[in-house]
Amino acid sequence: MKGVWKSTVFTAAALLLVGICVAFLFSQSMLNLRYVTGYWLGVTAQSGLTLIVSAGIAAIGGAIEGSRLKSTKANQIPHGRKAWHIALRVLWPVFVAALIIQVLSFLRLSTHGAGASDIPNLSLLLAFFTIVLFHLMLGFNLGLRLAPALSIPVALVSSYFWLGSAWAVNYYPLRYMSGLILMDCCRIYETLNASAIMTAIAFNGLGAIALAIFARRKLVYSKKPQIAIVGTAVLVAAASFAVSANLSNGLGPVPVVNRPTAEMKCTSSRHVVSWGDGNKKFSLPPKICFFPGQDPSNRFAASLDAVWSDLDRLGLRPPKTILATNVVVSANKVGIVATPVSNPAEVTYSLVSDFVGQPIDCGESEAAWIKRDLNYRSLINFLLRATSHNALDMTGFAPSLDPAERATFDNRFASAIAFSRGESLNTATSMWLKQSFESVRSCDAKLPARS
Amino acid sequence: MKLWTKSRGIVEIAICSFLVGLSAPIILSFQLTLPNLTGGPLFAQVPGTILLSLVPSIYYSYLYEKSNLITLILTKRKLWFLELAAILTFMVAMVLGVLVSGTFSNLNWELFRDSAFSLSLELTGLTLTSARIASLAPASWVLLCALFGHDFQNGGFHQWAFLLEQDSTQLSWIITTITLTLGTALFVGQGRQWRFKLKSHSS
Repeated sequence: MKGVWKSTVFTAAALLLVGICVAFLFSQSMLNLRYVTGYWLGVTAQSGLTLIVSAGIAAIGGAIEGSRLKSTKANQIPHGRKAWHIALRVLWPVFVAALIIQVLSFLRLSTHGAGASDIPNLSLLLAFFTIVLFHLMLGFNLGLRLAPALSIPVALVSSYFWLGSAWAVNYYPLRYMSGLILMDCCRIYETLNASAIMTAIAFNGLGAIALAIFARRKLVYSKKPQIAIVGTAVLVAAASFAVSANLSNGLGPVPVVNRPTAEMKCTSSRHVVSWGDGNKKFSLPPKICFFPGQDPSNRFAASLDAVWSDLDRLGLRPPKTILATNVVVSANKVGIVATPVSNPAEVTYSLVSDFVGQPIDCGESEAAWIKRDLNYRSLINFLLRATSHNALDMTGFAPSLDPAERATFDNRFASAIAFSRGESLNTATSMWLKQSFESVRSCDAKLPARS
Repeated sequence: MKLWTKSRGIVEIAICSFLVGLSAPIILSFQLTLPNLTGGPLFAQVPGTILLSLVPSIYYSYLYEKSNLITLILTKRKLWFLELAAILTFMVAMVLGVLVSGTFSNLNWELFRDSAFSLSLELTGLTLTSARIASLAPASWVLLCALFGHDFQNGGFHQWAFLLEQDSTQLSWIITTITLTLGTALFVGQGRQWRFKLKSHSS
């Protein structure tokens, strides 16, 4: 037994070494900072990137240990040891090795969690734990049943393709059963659907139990066919599929949903006015709402405030509430995109573009659509010039105009730049702006002249 | 020779390789979709040929592991010659399979190239490790190609991941030829003691 023990530890250590190297390379090239910065849910989810490696290691290790046990012919020679005891003894080193990879992945990413207001998602960590366990048991069963030369590569390839390919199938529950899709989460204004996590836990947890029962058949000495064991394993496997399919029934192609806006904190940094007895205060717009940690250095609020004021000064009446989320909002609210790693210009550009919206499709001829599109592009160019300042240059995000188109709007753009320096718009430009803005949103509005 | 042929599973190797070669036109149109985590599109396609190309080489290892080692250890024949014959059987049978499939479809050599490359890694694995884990070498390579082989910045694939290419380039054939030659030389050239992990008790 001492020899077996040494071998299992050696196998686990060797796999751990290889696994850590591959996992590091893998997460280095695929990490999405927009997900992990200042948001523990994102950190936890992105640590699942290394599941491809840890689950693969668990599957290979399980297959190696299974094939080692297969050679002992434990189900043909009488012995007094319990099946679970044998399995636990040989499997735990490799299971720990696979979990170490997951833990290291999480710890490495946790450096990005500084300043986050939430806590690591424990149910998500449990889902990753069950996924690794499922792959371990899958490999173990393959090892117990096939020749090592077949079981080990088959375990690796099947683990990888189950995790990866299941994500791409159009039967959505399968995506959540395999579980890798959970790592594709989340920007700070998004969260994970709890059903997606529960599906992964249910399928992989119950699936691992079914595989453990199935493995028992090869570990218990018996001369009779063990129909009860096989029957129980099949029943548990069917239950795992049924439960998880039921849990994931209402889920769409991705597990990410918008975070409830009730979690947002709103401020109105300017225009605080008191009246009457001096105790009553009321804030003038804009009211700017962020999720905790979304604007860590308070740079976005000030920039948004400035751009909002410019839009208001242009006479465009921007919505009085700005929400840093992509939830579709009402006419008096506008949503913007902001993550802790965004720069202020990206966030304010988002305000301008989301406020203007996309040009409406009026079912016109192609020539009319080209005019409408040109009107939209010139309007965005104008607004970005008018609301940019030295410290906040958004002109880099402006949609392209060819030289001839640009020449048409040269005067307008010159007015926009003058406006950004504090001058007022002349009446003609002001009229053009309002007409141009209206025609982006309404089919009834006539396109302004020269566009 | 008859005993060796039976013990080493030469007929099985030939049948497996022939069938894989024969299936080339069917598998060429089969694409696996995998999530792309490296940026660019959400999903990336991986040709089914890279999975099928693993089958004959894994089977080769399986038969090697299963073969009656005592017969091989005690044989007076030159082992390097016998193993070279086994590899040639593998190659010739697959070429035949591809040629036969080419008579009723377009002639496609990509699966043959991929299988030959997988075999070269398998032979290296067999030499340096043991038959039970040798197949991890080609299997891991295939997975690495699937994970990191796409070049989304320039379009297409990285040169080292030529297994993903549907149209074979000259370079891919050169790499395959070199690795197969080296793998074969390593495998057939190893001494009897190293091959069977025999310990010398002469001292």
